[in-house]
Amino acid sequence: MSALGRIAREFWTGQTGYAAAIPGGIHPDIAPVGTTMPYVVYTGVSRTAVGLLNGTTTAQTERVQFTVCSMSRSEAQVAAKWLGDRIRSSPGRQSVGTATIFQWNIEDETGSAEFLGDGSDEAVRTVDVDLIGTFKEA
Amino acid sequence: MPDPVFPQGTTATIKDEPSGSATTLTDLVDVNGNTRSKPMARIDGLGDTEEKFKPIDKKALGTVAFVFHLTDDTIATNQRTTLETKWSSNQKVTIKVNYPGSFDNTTAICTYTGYIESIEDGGSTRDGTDPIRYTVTLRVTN
Repeated sequence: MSALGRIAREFWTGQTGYAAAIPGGIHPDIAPVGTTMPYVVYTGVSRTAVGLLNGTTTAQTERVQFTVCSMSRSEAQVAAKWLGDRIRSSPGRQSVGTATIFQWNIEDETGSAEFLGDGSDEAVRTVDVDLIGTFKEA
Repeated sequence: MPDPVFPQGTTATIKDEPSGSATTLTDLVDVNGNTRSKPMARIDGLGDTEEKFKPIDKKALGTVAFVFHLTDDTIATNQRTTLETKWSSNQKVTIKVNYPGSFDNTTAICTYTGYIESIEDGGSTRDGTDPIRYTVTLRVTN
């Protein structure tokens, strides 16, 4: 499971308006069948260490992809914008739970092709939001 | 057979000359190499068919640059402040770079004595994901 994804989820769930913006919640990898839409799933894309010459790792930089799933394109985009706006309004050093975020930002927001949701024969609209951030865990 | 040397695991210490005690340089990320050189005098004559040189016995010991992550220690105890103080007070120092391996731990293979010639603070860019760095350049001199 993506560490930055888990930290970002903790950040977003603590923000005002979370329940209304993402009623289906944020889940690692896949969401349970029947989850209320829109919902978000996330997957770690890559992770690199910020290190010193003596071999010590001082921080991690990770890219995580969050995929907003909804029955309509506009609803997915509104939810994705809510996620991005929260990050953009707080881009610098901060504590989230026991982790320290040094910086993070949204690098890409991409509307992707429709696909069939688990257990459903209706097409789902998705928006991918790529978050890249540098952090350390306690 | 001796092993090749790799940079991961390298540490460095600094001590004031002539009689300070060595302290570890923390947050070191790069050591930019030192070039020692000797000027060469050209000694070929007009009738020679090739250039000839002879070293002039005046060695240039060069400079060596150390790159650090800037850390958020308070200003008074920040390593950058410490090094800047040595720079502004013309403090002669010895920096010893300890590469991993079976070198002589007493002297280290790369030991540089001299004065801090410059401190360059790194810039910052909006999209940068690397920590902010600063570079300390030592002018090596006996």
